[in-house]
Amino acid sequence: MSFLNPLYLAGAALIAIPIVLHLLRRDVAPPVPFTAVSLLKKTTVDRSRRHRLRDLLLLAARVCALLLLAASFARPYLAGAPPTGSTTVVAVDRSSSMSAPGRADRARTLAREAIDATSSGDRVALIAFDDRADVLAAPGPAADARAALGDIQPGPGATRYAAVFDKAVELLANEEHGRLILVSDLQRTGFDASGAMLPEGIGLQVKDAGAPISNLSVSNATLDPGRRVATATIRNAGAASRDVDVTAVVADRPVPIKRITVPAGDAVDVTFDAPPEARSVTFSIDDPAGYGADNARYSVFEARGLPRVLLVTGGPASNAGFYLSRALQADGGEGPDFDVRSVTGTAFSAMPANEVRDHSVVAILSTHGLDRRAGESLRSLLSSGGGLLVAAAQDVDASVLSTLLQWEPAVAPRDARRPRVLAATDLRHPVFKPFDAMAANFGQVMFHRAWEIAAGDGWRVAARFTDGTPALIERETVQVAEATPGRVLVFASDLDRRWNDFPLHPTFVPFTQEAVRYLGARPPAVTSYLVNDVPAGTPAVPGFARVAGRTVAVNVDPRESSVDRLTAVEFQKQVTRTASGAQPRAQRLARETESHQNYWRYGLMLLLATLVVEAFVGSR
Amino acid sequence: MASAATSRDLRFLDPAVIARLGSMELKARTVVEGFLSGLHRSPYKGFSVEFAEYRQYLPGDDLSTLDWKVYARSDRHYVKKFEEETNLECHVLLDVSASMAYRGGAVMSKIEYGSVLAASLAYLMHRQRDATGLIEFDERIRARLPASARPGHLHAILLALDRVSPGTTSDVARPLHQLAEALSKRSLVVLISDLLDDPEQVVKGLKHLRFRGTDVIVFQVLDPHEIQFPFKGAAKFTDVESAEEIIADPARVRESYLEAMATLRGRYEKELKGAGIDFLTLDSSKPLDFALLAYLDARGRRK
Repeated sequence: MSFLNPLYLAGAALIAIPIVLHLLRRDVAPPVPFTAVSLLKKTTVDRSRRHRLRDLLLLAARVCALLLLAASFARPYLAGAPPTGSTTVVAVDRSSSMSAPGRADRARTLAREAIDATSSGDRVALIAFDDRADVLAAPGPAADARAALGDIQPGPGATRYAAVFDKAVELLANEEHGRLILVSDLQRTGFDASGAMLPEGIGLQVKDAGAPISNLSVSNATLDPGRRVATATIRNAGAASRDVDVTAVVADRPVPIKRITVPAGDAVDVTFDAPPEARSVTFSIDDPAGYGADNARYSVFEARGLPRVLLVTGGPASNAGFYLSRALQADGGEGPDFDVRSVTGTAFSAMPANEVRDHSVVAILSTHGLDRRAGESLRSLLSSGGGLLVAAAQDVDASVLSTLLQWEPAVAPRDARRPRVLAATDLRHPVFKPFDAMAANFGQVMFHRAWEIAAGDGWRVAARFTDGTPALIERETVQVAEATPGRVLVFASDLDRRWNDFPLHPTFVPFTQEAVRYLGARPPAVTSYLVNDVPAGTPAVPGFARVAGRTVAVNVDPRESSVDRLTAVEFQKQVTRTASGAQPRAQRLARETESHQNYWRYGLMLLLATLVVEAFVGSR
Repeated sequence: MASAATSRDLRFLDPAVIARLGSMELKARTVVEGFLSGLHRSPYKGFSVEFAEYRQYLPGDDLSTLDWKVYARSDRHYVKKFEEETNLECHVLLDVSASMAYRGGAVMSKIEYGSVLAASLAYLMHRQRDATGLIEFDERIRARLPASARPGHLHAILLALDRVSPGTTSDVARPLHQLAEALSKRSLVVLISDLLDDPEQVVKGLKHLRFRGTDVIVFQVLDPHEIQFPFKGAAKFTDVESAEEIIADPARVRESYLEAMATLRGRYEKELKGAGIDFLTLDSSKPLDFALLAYLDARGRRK
């Protein structure tokens, strides 16, 4: 029996306390002169014998309890015989770059040689890696690793050395003399910006399975049915100019092959005609000398439908919604994220419900002109998963909104004019989460006038002013079937710089955009994934796949097409050695053994049982 | 008024009051006078030791009983006749063993209480013209004053009781046997002891006395602590005679102790009464009148 924290055994010295007390207690009885001791004796002998037994039981129980307590804290474990020999982890690259002619065979040969070179008592593990590392043979006989070697085939994944190092560290955590033999084509792009880390205690041996090659790849593919064109970018990573035939399949129909010349180290765009109804395109080239996986690329076209936001403002002369519309149409570099339109209340009331439902979010900045039809449209919007943003303003009547939206109880805010500041304390809320530490900047906005809302049933406070009154409240409509529940956000002050200077602050644009996104104005869907980041459940192979009912393109990582390689020495230099693995192996092993055995739990259970016995005996 | 007088007189029987008095003679007189004063108003009115009548002198009468004043007036010899006047020989046996020196919850120790009781009895006996003797003993007889009715003898007894000191271990039976062998005439023996001895031997000694025609009154004097065992908390009880020690938790042994004590007293009571011996347990914190009444009761039955 060994102990993980033997110092706690010193606590066992506490057993001296009950022992000393027991011994002292025998003498603590003060002497009392008496006459009829013979009578006393006659009755006490029997009893005292019983009491002595009880005292001894109590003493034993208390001593046991303290010993168990100390032993449990000392974390006992049964140490098994230490393993002999060392462990060698052989990691073989299976990234798409290993599909170059002869590389996979050479890698397997090098790996087999490494396995054969291990001593008879050593344990050998086999890992295949690309952007993730899989253990094909757990540490054990070399024969197992040798047998698993045949399963390694180049795949579409990209090289990421960090994954294999992490896995090797995991496998060699309990080894004193572990080593990692890495068999790879040593692509430079396999290192992330942060490089890779390996504990000092693990030896690293690098075997180069690559050789200089010339690689052609389809590095980009786009489809623009509007312009009736599909474009492929062909990159030549070799040292010499190459001629290559580019094949395109647009909308499942082959188009004439185009032959192009790609200068060394350069890329050439190739365009093909595409019909307006085309929604997918596949480009491929024939490059038997290079990597196989990057010879094809896939693309899917999906109209980038911007979420539509409808601002309901006052009359024609009103400038309500100016700041909000500008904020939502802010160009982030790829154009605005929202399609914003402003209408008057009267026009909104006249708008058919299905037209209102075409909008993701409706922002009410004035209730002038809203009538029963507007209420039906808004309720229809919410029941179909749309969002409603209400900002307090002079022209917004909360009672009208409560009536139109059938809020029970009705929202009845009190218009209060006194300065206050917004405090976005709950950064878990989706509206404020992107702000993170920058949320403190809300404190720079001075709100001179605001609604003081008593958030009743069904409402949740998302943010408050510093005086504790709600600043942003929300509610969800009752979910109908599988439809997304509609959301309502009510901001307690206006968004038109009448009651505050919020629109002049940097937080205004992100706040309004995040609020609108939260209400349902979601950005356009992703149409393309790399094989290493496809959603769960989607096959990680290049081609077309279905994700959430839509067709998406899955392509190899274009970085993997690089032919830039490291030497073994350069590779070693890229690896950062850490001291984290310097923890004594014996201690590590002990900690792991103890964590598996968990004898301390039994100790505490015994302690509990002992205390029960002690309480029982003590009460007798 | 009567009750007021009674309570005032009875307070002189209270050990707390007696303990504050000076000499043993004063204590005995206080007790007896107080007791007799109470008796005059008690149902025991018939027990008077007062002058009863004059009787013409007959040869053999004690000349000290001659009433010289009557002789002066009438020129005839008359002797005073007292109601309780007899030729009784009384022996008071006082246990002075170490256990009698125990004082727990009372104002007086058992030996002090026993001494006052012995003195009171001697005083009372002397008033009745009985020959009174005193024997102090522990495991052996430590002091002995032979029975005598001479006026100065009472003083000697009271002086001896005043100087009494605790002895060693007790052996009640031994002096009883010795006394039984020594007594040659009709006597009354009063034993004052805690009787914390081998009851078989004690009873045997008392029966020996009784067998010799001696009337015996036994006063078992016990301290309130011996009767009630009111101790609290674990204690090391040390026997004052044998120095034997035992650790006990009073809360746990009280019941069995009281049972044992009741058994001991019950045994004495049963066996002694069976032998015609008066037995009375006295609480050393209680007044002495019960003891004196018991004596007079026994004394009266001897008439």
